[in-house]
Amino acid sequence: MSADEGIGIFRVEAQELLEQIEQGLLDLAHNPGEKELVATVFRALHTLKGSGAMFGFDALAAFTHHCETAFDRVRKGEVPATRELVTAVLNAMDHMRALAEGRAAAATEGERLLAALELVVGSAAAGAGAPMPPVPITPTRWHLRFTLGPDVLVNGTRPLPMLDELRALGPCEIKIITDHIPPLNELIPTECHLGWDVLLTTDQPRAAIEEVFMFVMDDMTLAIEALTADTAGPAVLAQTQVPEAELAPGGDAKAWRPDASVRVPAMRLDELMDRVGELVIAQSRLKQIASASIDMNLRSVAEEIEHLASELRDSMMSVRMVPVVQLFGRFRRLIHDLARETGKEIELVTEGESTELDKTVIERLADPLVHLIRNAADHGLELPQERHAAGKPGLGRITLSARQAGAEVVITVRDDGRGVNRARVRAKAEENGLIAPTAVLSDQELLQMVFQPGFSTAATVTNLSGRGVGMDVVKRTIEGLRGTLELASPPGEGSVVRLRIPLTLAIIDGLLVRVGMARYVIPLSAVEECLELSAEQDQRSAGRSLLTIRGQLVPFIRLHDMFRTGLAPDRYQKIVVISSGADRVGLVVDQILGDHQTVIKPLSPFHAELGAFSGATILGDGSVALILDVGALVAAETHQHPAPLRAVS
Amino acid sequence: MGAERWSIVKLSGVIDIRSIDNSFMKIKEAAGDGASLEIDLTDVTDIDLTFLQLIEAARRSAAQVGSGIRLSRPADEIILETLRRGGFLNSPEDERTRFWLGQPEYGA
Repeated sequence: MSADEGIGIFRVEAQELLEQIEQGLLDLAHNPGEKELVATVFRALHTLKGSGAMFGFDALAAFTHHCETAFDRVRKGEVPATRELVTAVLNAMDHMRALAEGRAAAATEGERLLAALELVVGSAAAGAGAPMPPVPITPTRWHLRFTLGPDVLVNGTRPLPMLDELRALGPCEIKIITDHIPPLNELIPTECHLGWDVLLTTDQPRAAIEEVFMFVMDDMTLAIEALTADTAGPAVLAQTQVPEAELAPGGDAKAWRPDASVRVPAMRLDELMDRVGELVIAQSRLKQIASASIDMNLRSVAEEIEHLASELRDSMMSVRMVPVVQLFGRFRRLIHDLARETGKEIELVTEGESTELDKTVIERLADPLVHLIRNAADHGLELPQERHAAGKPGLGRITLSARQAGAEVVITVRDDGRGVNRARVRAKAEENGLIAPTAVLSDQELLQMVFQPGFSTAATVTNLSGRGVGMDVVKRTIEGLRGTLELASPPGEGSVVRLRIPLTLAIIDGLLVRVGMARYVIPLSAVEECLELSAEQDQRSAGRSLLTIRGQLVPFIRLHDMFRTGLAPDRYQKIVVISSGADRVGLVVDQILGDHQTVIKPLSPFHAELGAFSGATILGDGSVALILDVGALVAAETHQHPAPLRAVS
Repeated sequence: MGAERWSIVKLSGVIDIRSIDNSFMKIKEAAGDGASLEIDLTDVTDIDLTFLQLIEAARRSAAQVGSGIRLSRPADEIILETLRRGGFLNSPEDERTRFWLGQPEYGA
C-alpha cells in the first residue's frame, strides 16, 4: 500500500466516522441520556483520532483529541450531554472534516471552536452538580485472555494504550502470547498475530474491563474470567492458557470473524462497469452475426453469452446500488442547522431509506436535495407563532421519502408549510417577463414558473435561499440524470416536490426504433405501449398532432419531421406512447426494431446541447444510435406547438 | 549452528506500521540464505508492536533452521519500555528477555 493509497483509505474511513459521529450527535440531541449513543460518538472520535495520527494527519488527531476528551467526560458521567455541547461538537466536526479532506482550515478557527467547546463543557459540568460519593467495592481478580484480529493494526488500533488502560484499572500482570506469529517467510508484517494473557486486580466492574476493548470488540477474541480466592494466585497466569476452543462465541468470548464485506474504491467499480458495457456491446454484435448465420452452434453460444452478459450486467448494477439512507442521513445535520438559522422548529421524517439507487445517481442527487430542503425550510415552513395562529403544531415537518417504481426511484420532498403563494409567483413571473399579464395559465403551468432561471419569490435574500438560483439548477440536474421533477402544492397542505430518477445511468433497457435511415433508442422505462399508425389515420391527421387512444387525447410527435430525414415515411408507421412526468406523448417512428440493452455513452461537449438526445449507444453492427431524451423532446415540441390541433379519431 | 556467518542488519529511525515493510525486507533478505542475523538497533529512535512481532518471527525462523540471531548491543531504554508495555519481558530467565538484553551466549 503506497502512502497515497493509505491516505485515500483513511479519508474514506474518516468520512464514515464523521458521519457516524454526526448521526450519533443528532440522535443525542433528542435523547441526551442515551449511554449507547455517547459511547458510539466517543468510539468514533477515538478511532478518528487514532487513525488520523497513524496516517500523519496530526492536526486532525490533535483537534479531535479535545472533542474526544469532552465526550470521555460525558461517558464517565462527569458532564451531561447538553444540547449546547452537542452543537459545539457538531460545529467542531466541520473543522475536522476540513482537516481530514486536506482543505485549508485556519488554526485560529480550530482554537475558537475548542475554546467554545471548553466553555460549554465547563458550564455543563458546573450544572451537573457534585459527583456521587464513591461506594467502596472489594477488588476482584480477573483473568483475561485476548487475541486481536489480523487487521487491527492497519485499522488504527493501538494495543499498547489498551494495555496501559488495563494497568490503570489496577495491579496487572501482562504476558504476551506469540504462539500465532508465523515464521519470517510467511509473515505479513502489518498484520497482527499477537495475543495477551492478563491477571488484573481491580475494584472496577467487569464493564470497565470490557470498555477497554470497546473499539476492537468485533475484531478479536476475548475471554474474561473472575477468579475465585482458590485460583487467584500468580501461578494461574502460566496455567490458565485458555485453549482456542474455549474462545468460541458465547459466554464471555467474542470471536473474531472476517469482514462480511469488502471495501472497493468507487473508481474500480466504474472501470468494471465500463468493461461490462463493452461486453454488452460486443455481445450485441455477436448476436447480430449469429442471427445471420445458419451455424446452430454459433447461435447457441451467442444465446448463452447473451444470457450471461445480461446476468453479469444485473449483478454489476446491483453491486453499484446503495441505499438512499446514505443520502438521507446527511440531511439531518442540515435540518439541525436550518432550524437554528431560521428560528423555526423543524422535524425531518425519512421514509423508504432502504430504497436503492446507483451510487453515481446518489452522489449527483445530494445538491438538488439540499436546495429543495432549504427551500422547504426557508419558504415553506412558517415560524412557530405563525403555525400556531394557523392552527398547526409549532413543529414543522419536512418529509423525505423514497420508493421504487419500476425502473425508477421516486423521491419526494414534502413540507407541511404554507405552500406556494400563487399570486406572488404570478407577479414575479410577470415582472421577469416570463409571462404576459394577460396570459392564461393552468395551475400546473403557474407552478412550473418556479423552475425558470433567476426566479425567486423570497422577499429577502437569506443565507438559505432566495438568491434566485436553485430551482432551475435543481431541474437541470434532475433532467441531467434523465429524471423528471414535479411540484405540487394543494392549498393548505404545504408543498410536494417529486423527483423521478432512473435506477442507473450506465446501462438501460431500451426500445430500438428506426426513423428514416437512422436508429434511435427510447428508454424502455418511459414506454407505455406501441400502436400502429395506419396510412388512413396518418392521412387524416396530416398537420395535426393529437390522436385518441381509448377515448383519451394524446399528442404525438412525428420524429420524421422533427429530425428532417428528407425521406418519405414508411407506409405503416408506428406510434410509441411514452410517459414523461404527467404527460403521455406518442412518438411516430418508421419501424420498431425491438428491445436493446443500451450502454449509455455520453455525447461529446459539441453535441451535448442538442437537447433532444441524452446520449448515444453503439449497436451490434458498430453503428451509433442516439438515445432520445424523452422529457426534452416533449418540452421542445410543446413549446413549438403550444396549441394542439384537433384530434384524429 | 551457523555462527561463522553473521549478516548484519542495520536499522534506523522510527520503525512502526508505516515503515515496517522496509525493516521486514532487510531482515528477510539478510536471513534468506540461512545466515545468522545480527541486528543493529543503535540508530533506532522508536518502535511499535509491528517491529517486536517482526523480531519474534525472525527468532522463530532462526530456531527452525538452526541459525543464530542476536542484537549487536542490548536494547536501549526506548525499546525496553515498549517491550515492558507490551508484556514481552516477564522473567529474566526467558529466552526472549535474554535476547533483548543482549546476553552474549544467546543465539551464538
